[in-house]
Amino acid sequence: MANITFAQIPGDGDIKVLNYALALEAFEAELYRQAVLRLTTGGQVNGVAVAGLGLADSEPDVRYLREFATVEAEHRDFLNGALGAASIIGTGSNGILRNATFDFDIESLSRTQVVDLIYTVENTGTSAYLGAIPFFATNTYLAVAGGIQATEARHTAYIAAVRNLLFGATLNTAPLASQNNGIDTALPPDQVLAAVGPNIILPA
Amino acid sequence: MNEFEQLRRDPVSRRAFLRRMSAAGLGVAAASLFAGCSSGGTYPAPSGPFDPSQPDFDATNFPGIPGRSINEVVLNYALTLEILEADLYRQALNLASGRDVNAALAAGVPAPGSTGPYAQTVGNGSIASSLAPAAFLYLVQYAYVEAAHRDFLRVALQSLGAPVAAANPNGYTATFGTDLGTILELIYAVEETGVRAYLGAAPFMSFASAADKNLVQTAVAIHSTEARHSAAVAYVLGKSAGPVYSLPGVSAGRRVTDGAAAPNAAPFSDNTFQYFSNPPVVLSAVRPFLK
Repeated sequence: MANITFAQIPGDGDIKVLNYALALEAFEAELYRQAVLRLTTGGQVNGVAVAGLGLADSEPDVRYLREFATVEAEHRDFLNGALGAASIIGTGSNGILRNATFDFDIESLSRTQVVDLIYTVENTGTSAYLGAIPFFATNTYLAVAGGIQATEARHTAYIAAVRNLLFGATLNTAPLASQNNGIDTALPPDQVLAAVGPNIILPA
Repeated sequence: MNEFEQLRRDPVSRRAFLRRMSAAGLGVAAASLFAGCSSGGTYPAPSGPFDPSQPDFDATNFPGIPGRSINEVVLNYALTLEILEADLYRQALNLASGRDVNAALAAGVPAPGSTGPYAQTVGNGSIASSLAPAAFLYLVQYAYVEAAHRDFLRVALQSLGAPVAAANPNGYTATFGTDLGTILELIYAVEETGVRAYLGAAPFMSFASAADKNLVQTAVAIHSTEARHSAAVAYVLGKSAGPVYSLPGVSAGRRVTDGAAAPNAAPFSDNTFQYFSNPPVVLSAVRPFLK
């Protein structure tokens, strides 16, 4: 596991915040890839053969996880492209996550657990972007960060709705009026990094 | 740290503040009393849809929206839209539950998972019967959330000593359908306009001080709850999670990557980045809802 703090995220000001966002998007994109494999045909994940649960593409969780997997990969690629040589997953000196792998024990998760994990991570991502906003030095990237953040929020709500339909759960799709005035909550970067750290593996 | 900052950071202090505001007849309790009414503003009747007689910090981008600074203007812009949203939700919920369209929102927020005193009386329309209970639950929950957003912004502006945007004196109107599906179709358009509005307004905000940044954070946090609402309503309507570029009845979308009024460009998919709308576009788009 990797205990990365926000102080250790490379770059200053806006670049640091964008690298933080990129780290989370790389994490999410890889989770989605593994989740889709687990729910469907199975395949290789970090050198381990993961058995598939054999669900059809027409199942709503499979369908939307596939759709969102593409979106998360595009978020990652967009930020990585924008950061170029300064990227936290690039080949430059900032690339501290270049060779990182992400381990979710996906091979041991049930269908419900996979959907729950996706929901938790998307919900955390929505709050993580909010928590990062005060660390931007300028508002140059605010619209882009907000544009990604709203997309994460959409995924969270949609997955909650799918979860409720498939498994009879009662997840809230959005904060209720009785919860923080119905407003999403910000999570500070170090709290988010501590939460995702156990799933991030750095090469020895 | 000013009082609003303290409120924002500290839920305990926020509750204490709300109690004080309520005692003074200014806060949530008072606001909920006239939640169903069309008035409640302290400003003279506007001569246009949005009151051009108010001091305009930025009359070009936010015509008719009061405020002494750009951040106050943006919060008032948000409040203007939340008042409208909350009122349309109230009407939609009344219609879907067989109540008088003018009835106030029932007192007390329903418990999690509960529709409180509301029960669906209209047909499902296009909504699958397996999804209708969730669809109605979301309608109830979000009606209270939009009212909470409205009340929160009012209290926030009051705590800043800012001028506070008034409700449209004659209230709001919309052509709702007669079943749950068509009622939620209209709500979907309103929510989506709201998401685009917040995202289009946030970059106008001052980002100079820590307090400014926290106000921006608050605006973006409300924005993502609107995005959640839009997506969940889309789900029960059998629509894509979005973001979707082209939506009938919704303010024109611009893509965040370059500001162009168009879908996301290759190599990115249509649904990769939330679209935004400029404030004048939004204000024009919601004008038909003003009575």
